Amino acid sequence: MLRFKEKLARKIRTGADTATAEVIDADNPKRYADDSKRYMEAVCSQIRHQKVRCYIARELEDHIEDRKIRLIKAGIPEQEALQSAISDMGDAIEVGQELDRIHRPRPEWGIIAVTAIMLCIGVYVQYYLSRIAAEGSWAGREAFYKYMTTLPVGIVVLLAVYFADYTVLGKYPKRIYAGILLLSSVLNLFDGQIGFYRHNIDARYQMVYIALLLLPAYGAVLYGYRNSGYGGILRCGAAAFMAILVLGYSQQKYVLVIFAAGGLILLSAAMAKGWFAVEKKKAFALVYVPTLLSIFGFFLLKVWRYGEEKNLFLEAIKGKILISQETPDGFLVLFARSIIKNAQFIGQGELSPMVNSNTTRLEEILPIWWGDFSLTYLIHQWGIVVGILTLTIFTFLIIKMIRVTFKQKNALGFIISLSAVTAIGMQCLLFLSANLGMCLLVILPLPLMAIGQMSFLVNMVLLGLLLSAHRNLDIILDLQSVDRL
Amino acid sequence: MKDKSIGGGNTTMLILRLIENEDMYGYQMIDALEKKSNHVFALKAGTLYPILHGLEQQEMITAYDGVSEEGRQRRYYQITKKGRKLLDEKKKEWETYASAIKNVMGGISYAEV
Repeated sequence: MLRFKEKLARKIRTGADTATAEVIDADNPKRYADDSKRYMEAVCSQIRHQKVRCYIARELEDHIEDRKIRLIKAGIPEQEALQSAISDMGDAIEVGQELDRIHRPRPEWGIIAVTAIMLCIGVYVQYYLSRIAAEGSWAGREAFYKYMTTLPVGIVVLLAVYFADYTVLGKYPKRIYAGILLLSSVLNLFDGQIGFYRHNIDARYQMVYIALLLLPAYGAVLYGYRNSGYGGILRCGAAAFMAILVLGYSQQKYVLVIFAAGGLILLSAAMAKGWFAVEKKKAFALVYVPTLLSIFGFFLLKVWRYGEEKNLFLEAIKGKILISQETPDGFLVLFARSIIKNAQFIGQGELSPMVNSNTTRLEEILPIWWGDFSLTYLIHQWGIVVGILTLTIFTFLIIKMIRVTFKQKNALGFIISLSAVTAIGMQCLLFLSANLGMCLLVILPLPLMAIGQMSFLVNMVLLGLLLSAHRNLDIILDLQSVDRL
Repeated sequence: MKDKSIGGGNTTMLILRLIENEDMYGYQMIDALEKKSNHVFALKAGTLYPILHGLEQQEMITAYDGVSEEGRQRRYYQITKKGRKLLDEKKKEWETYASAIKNVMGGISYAEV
């Protein structure tokens, strides 16, 4: 590899030399431009990170141009001025090698390592749970097989996204956003299961993953509306509203809430960064006043309704927010809480007093113990130490992701990374708050570790996007940069 | 220690000093350096850009696209808080070094040679 590089370097160097010799005699102005181009090619040939090449070339070309103009003003003929400007730059190969050293693609080893550790733990945990499930007639038996078949696919997906050009999102934000919305509208048409290559997919439950994938696309839409003033903010609001309409049509209303919360975080970040080039206070008022009013209006509308719908709504509030034992949701939270209270620090805990005396196994009473409540279950089986370990791993992952996000100098990279952190962070919060007996809004699988094929794949895509943005940290895309500090 | 990775401590100091009060693009820096040093320092572009890009990665400076006096789009560099701190350190180091040289040189008596 190295020898090949040296060869290439020599070839280009000698090529550049002969070109110089030709140009001095030639009277053709086009040749001069070629000469500057050849110099740039020689520099770029040394830079392995392909994507930064054109940005560097532009800067160096500008430099040669400035120098040339200065020399011409000083009375030097154009040909000589260009030659002198190029030779003032320094040796092309050396300059290229120096720049290559600085602009290497940077893998984020911390996050890659945590992902690998999480996958290993995930495999072991799924294996353990499936073995217990095999003892009874529990539905978790097949989960391990499914997890293992999805694992390689997920890894391929992550690598594909990692090496792909994430800047495509910035080039066609509206098309990609509209495409995902269209897909979700199609999924909405199916009320139940869709058969798909020997798998039955429950369309309704997949909507949430579409909403999560919609976040990076929405981030790219925000990026596309930079410097477009209050009108841009309104258009971004309209784009979010379109998604809320489509997702709201789905039977799972929480999907809409997840997208709306994530989208609001992204929009707020974009406004805080001054992307729209307007007064920040007014921009925030423009977004938050209608948002809060519509949330308030929604609650009012629900409470004012009569009959069953109103009762269902009040019941949901009682269960999810007030955590009343009389509702199924509230009961589950209190149950998880009592399981954790009766757990050992290390080792199997006692059965919660809420379990009636005929039951001897937690699996018989804890719903989806092999999936949605797997952490609560493992805390009972292995001890509180499991909970602490899980919290530590995810806190580390999220903090690492946030740091990577705020290191981004490039606006598109920043918003894409932020959307990945937001999406993954929200899933963690929802899973952990239910499993640790805090509150149960809705449970989504714990990213990468709990059962759920779609969940696994979507989170691999999100991680891939963040890593890809970090890898290409240097790319300077923002031609009309507004990120002036 | 850091200096070696961004190519010569003194060049770094001079570059930071140049953009301390005014954002500049690469060519402007070389031009200004030449004028201010009475043509003693002639910095090659090939040395300048790796240093600038290195400093940018270390968050000592940030870059943005601006329009030059001649109406051309150029990549401007701006010093950050972190960069100002580094510049202050460099200045102090330089002052110590310069006064040491001066003391040694000033102490030689040519009459005795």
